[in-house]
Amino acid sequence: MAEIILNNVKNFVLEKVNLTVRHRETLAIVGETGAGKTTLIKTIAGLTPYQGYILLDGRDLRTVPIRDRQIGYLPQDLFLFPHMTVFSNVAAGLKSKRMTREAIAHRTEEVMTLLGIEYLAGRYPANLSGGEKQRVALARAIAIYPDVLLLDEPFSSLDVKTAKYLRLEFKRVVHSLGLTTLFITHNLTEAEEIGDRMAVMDAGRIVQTGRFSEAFVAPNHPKVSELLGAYSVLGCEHAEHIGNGLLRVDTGKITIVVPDEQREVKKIAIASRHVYLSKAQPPGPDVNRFSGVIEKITHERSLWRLTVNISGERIVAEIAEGDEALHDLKRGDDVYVILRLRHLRVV
Amino acid sequence: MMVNDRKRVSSIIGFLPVLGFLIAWEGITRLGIVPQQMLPPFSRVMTEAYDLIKSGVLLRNFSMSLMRVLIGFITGSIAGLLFGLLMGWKEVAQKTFSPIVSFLYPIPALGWLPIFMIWFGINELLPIAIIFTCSFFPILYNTASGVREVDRNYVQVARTLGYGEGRILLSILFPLALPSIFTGLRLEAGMAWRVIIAAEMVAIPTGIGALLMRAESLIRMDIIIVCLMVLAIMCFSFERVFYFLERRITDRWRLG
Repeated sequence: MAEIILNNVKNFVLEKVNLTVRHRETLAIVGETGAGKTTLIKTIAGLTPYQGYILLDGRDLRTVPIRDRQIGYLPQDLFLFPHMTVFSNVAAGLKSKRMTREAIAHRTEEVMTLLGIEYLAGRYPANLSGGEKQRVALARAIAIYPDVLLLDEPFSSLDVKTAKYLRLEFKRVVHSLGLTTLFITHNLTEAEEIGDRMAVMDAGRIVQTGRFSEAFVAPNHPKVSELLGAYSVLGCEHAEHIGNGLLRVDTGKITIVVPDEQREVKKIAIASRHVYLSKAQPPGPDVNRFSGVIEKITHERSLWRLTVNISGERIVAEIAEGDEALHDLKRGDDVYVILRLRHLRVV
Repeated sequence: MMVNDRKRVSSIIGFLPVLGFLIAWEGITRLGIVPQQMLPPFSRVMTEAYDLIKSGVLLRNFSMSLMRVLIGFITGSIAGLLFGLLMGWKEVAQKTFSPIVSFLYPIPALGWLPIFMIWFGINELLPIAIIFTCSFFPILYNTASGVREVDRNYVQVARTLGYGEGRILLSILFPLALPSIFTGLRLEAGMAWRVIIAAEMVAIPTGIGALLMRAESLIRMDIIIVCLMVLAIMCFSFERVFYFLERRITDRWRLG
């Protein structure tokens, strides 16, 4: 078991943080820059002083020296030891344990194989790509048989393709090892893809915890709404399996095709940033494409937010301030709405 | 053109100015443009160097200087390194010793000569103490600043991996401070030779510096130039040794 409980944890950044991370759970911590996310995981790792209680499996962490905490920590900039080879980096934490040379070599090879980096063993970090460095850092953190893994924006410095591949890799490794994991991210797709739950932080506090879908259907803090962006939530009157992993959902006013997640559909959430508008009728099959009328236009930061009425169902779309193709849209204009299947969330 | 051929051509081109300088030197002295008492021809300097080596005078004086430099430099560097590690790692040591070091560091090594003459007298300890002082402060300074400049996130990561204080110092901070330490060693290795020559010229009756002073009293420009050549070669060689060591040790992980 590796359950973490934070009870009224306070320090120079955190303000009475209360949080429970369940055994084997992956918790995504999201929030704006300066919200206290890094301080939170550094506090759990034992690198920042605090008041209050942090319990790991019921043990007060203040009574456990850092070296005995079995916490794997992966900082944002990785900080691979540049003077050590990949093998030595991965083995670094094991050398502090009472292990024989053979046992260290065996464990190091095992972890490197798990992450597919055995071919990098003799290389130095300066000679690695971003994705390779990331995997080496993860290997170093998990080599020490941790119960808990703390990761600070692990995929932020990678290109989109590598980050996506590594996210899947990471999920596989964390689940296979049964680790309790906290990871910080700015990327909501990442939070949703990897995290079992998420905690939203603002000004040193945790303002909401819960499943991703719960948070966007019922944000309980303005910061959560701001962070998640606007969502259109549509009800479901009837759902019908149409094969190929798809469901046809009747909202009572329109019909939408959504991914079949093998669970009951109560609502459908559509992120405004993933609603596409077009002045001309879009080509292709007539699935999840609707015509509607712009009912309302609001301006927020560098975005225009347009509410489109489609047969009485209201869907909010966001367009960037500089979008030249759509900048002249105004209230009452007819517009086509395109909903991408992969961005529709069943709640 | 192959890479090796290119390197050969480049080293020949690099040698040409030296060859030109030596020919010009020989020419202006042989043609009487510069009097030979003021600047003997290069060939005469080489002949004198051969005679000095053959008679054992040069080797005897050189070995005295070399021994003093090695003992003073090695002990001074080790002491500077240890103190530097301590001051770079522990803030309390930094705060305690920093005012003293800042006060003593700017004093030129030869400035200590009068004090050391009174403390140790004129014997072998005197030049060794001068070289020790000349090496100690700069290497301490470079080591301490090298350790301080290591990103503390490496230390934090090491702590989460279970490293204790000693291992953090030896396995993380010391290797990462090596580039800065080597800069100090490289500069001070050459400086040790410059200082020993000056110390021997002023206060010690043996060594290359003393030979220089004797040659000056006999107005033997050829011997003076031989001594200066030895000094130049030793400064250059010592600096290159540390340059080579630095590259050997740190290049494989510093360069991508």
